[in-house]
Amino acid sequence: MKAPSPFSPLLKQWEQSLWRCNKCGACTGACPLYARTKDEGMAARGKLALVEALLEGSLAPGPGCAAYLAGCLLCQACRESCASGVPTTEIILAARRELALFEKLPFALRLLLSGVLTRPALVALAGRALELCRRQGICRLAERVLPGEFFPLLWRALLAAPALPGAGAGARGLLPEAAGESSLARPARGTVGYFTGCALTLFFPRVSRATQRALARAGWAAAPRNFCCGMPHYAHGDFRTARELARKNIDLFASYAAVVTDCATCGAMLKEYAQLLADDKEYAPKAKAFSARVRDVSEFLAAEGAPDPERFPRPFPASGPAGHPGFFFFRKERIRAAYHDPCHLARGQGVREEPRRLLAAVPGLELVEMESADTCCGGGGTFLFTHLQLAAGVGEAKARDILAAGPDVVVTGCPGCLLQLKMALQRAGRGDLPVLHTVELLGL
Amino acid sequence: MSGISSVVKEAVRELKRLIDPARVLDTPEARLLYAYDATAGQHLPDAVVKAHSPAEVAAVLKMADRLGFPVVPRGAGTGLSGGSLPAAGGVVLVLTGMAQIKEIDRENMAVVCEPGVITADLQKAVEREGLFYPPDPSSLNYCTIGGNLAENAGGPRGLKYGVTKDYVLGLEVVLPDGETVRLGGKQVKNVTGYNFLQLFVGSEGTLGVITEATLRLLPLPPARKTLAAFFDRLEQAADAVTAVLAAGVVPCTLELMDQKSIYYVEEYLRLGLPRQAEAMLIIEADGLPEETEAQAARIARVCRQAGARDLTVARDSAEADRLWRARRAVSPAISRVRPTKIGEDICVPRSAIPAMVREIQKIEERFGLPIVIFGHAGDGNLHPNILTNRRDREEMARVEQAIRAIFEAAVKLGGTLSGEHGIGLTKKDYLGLDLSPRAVALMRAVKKAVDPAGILNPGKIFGGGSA
Ligand SMILES: Cc1cc2nc3c(=O)[nH]c(=O)nc-3n(C[C@H](O)[C@H](O)[C@H](O)COP(=O)(O)OP(=O)(O)OC[C@H]3O[C@@H](n4cnc5c(N)ncnc54)[C@H](O)[C@@H]3O)c2cc1C
Ligand code: SF4
Ligand code: SF4
Repeated sequence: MKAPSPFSPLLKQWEQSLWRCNKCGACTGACPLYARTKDEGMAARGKLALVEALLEGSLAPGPGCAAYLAGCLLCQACRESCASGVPTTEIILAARRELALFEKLPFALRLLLSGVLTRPALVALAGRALELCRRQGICRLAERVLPGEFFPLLWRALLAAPALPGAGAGARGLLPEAAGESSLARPARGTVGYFTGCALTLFFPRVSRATQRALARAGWAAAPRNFCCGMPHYAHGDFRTARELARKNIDLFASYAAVVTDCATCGAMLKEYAQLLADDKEYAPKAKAFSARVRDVSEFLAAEGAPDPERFPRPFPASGPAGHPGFFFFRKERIRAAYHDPCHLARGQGVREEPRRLLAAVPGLELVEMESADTCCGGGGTFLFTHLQLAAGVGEAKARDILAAGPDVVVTGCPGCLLQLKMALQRAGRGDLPVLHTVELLGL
Repeated sequence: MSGISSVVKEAVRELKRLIDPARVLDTPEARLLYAYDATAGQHLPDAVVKAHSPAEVAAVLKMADRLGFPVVPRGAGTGLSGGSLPAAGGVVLVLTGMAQIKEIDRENMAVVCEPGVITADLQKAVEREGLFYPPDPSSLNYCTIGGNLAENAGGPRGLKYGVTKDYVLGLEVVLPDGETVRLGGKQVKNVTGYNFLQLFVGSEGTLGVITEATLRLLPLPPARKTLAAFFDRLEQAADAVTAVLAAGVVPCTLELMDQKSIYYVEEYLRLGLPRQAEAMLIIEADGLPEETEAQAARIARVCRQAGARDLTVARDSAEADRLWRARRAVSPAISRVRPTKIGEDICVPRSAIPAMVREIQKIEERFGLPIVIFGHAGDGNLHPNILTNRRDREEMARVEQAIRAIFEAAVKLGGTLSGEHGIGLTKKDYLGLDLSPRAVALMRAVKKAVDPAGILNPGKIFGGGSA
């Protein structure tokens, strides 16, 4: 009596994989959203059951189903926990695409994704505007003007210069922007394509600068450029735009032997291009080659650019010329750094050891492990904006784990995490704890 | 059934006045989301209520008693016998939201908790206090204490430490009429009245809803030592198991993997396991450091005498972890071989393990279905897993026959249908293979006395007839 499935072959092709799910429930134990809500529909098992019902025709697509499918951080913890190897997140993405969830996003977000992020010039412009705000102290003004709790928190997380211990009012001069980069750089070993993610350009230009510095010290010149990687579109089911952006990026980086990025999410997406364009006659081979050339900056530096102690001043000498910008941060003898694994780095790209190796090699820095370091922080890209409460809830658990490890600084490798961790710590009353990108600790 | 759904509609209206409406759900999506457990069977409830307090549990049951609709308690839905499936419709009562650990009493070595606490969370919490909650079902990272109690769950450590029932000191139970009883408490000895505390352990949610449990704890053993031994012939492994125990050592775990398990794990992980070996034993001793060393040495000697071809003693926890990887990989490895795996849970006297394995091998040949065997050799609890395809009708008919043959063989060898997963829906047709008619009648009489209206988890355990 069941009506024939009204769904496209694109969703249908996952049916066999869906059948592999034996409803064991292991993914519920791994899902940060389930831990928070205890709601089956939040874990992969429930979402897969809904997709299966959609395909069977026993459930009509509608807002209820769409809401469950939208409630996912795409953190891939479920995929990792699944003994049967069910490609959970791929199926969730395919279902989002099928239900055209993109169309159901709030207007402002859609505008951002398709109007701004697809245009590099606009992203750069917005980045400069935000940078200006940061310098002019507009954040403090905004804090007073903006209503509610979320936006002031977000605003502060976005605009506040990283408040480092002992940095005092002069925090802006903290990073050695003007510390004579050329004097530190070795003769170039070559030039890499530096994929500057939109979020870093917009919100954390200090990270982009630190990345270029770290690359320079390892002897690499960086050619910064990008179109949006397409992840936000892909995640919300707008595969068409994602594919278009993929093709543009492949062309943009055609002449570089290595494509390096400091955004975990962009990196994961760029490595996914091979898959995304597998059925594109013209671009499939190019995409495959492109994805193989992509490296996260920590991956690249750990393999290529082992820092050369001869050429570096010791980053954190116990005493030294007070003029060195790093010093007031590192007044303490040893700095305890807790590293949070971004989902898109740890599970998305299998990069867990490299950032830890780089950090552990920084003199004066002690790497401390927090409980569940690779559990999602709750940022989930735009999830942070679409599911305020839930994201805050997941962040609360993360902040607890961080604070229990007692670090002086929190380190991670993704702008989404930087933002969410900062907000979670602010909520926990520890907005003073610096949250930095791995590369920011390498080049000091 | 439409009678029930209209009754439940009314109940939902009324319940929304007593309970946060966000936790009283009857959307098509919510009904689908609470229609399954780890048997992958599916039965749609008419509504779902997520209780946050014993009072809410009582409210639902009182209403069910008054209006007459089924209520099915549900923990994490990881059951392997269909216990939390609403086979007769009605309301699924979800208890995962009641997840407080109320008290860890170090002096009396007891923990008081709500039923929705995840087993691993409870273990971690008491271990931080230097205490130990031994029952360790493999699903411990995602199943609940309530589900463990209702199924009397066990695990590898059962050999030395027993199963869930051995750790229950007290329970708060809401009865089918909505009234609450408290049984037991923190005292370790208690013979006041019938031992009804244990009546509710393993009752599969058919007699009452557990809303609080007081569980016994042990001091956390400071050391453990892990060994792995391979045997060319299964009988040698069985001899080793008997010899270890006869040598006066009670390991905390004694896990068995058969040749197919070894083969598929090796295919999957390439750990360098000998594929020709008919059996692998993973043995773990725990206790004080000196004690564990001595036990491990004795276990190793006994295994060699029994003819082990290969023996590894883990030097540290990292090595131990590597040995356990093989055992933990069995499920993932065999899940990849064919679309569906159907895991059974028979338990035979320890001495009958080799005979049982040989019987299963014959059944495998007779029905032409691959069957992988692993389990807890120490207590005779074997998990034969049939690898099949749920969507192949013809093959599934053969699977049914094979399952019956396995049950018959187990009972003939003095064993039972289920060591730890329960009867629920999936095994109720076979109850008569194991229990006498009089025993079944006695159980039915108890059910009738506690739940005269038959509203709590009806249709479970007993096949056909009235609840
Ligand atoms: C991969 C895997 C491995 C497993 N390994 C083991 C193992 O090693 N050992 C083992 O014993 N089991 C094992 N199981 C089975 C299962 O995990 C256990 O039976 C577990 O105890 C079920 O807990 P749950 O919270 O999921 O309960 P559910 O499946 O939700 O419910 C199980 C039964 O308990 C009842 N119930 C739940 N909560 C309550 C309550 N508060 N009051 C009254 N009744 C209640 C339900 O009505 C139902 O009848 C395994 C399952 C899986 C999927
Ligand atoms: S862990 Fe895998 S098989 Fe188990 S319920 Fe989740 S998706 Fe299904
Ligand atoms: S991807 Fe993360 S948030 Fe989404 S269902 Fe899986 S575990 Fe949960």
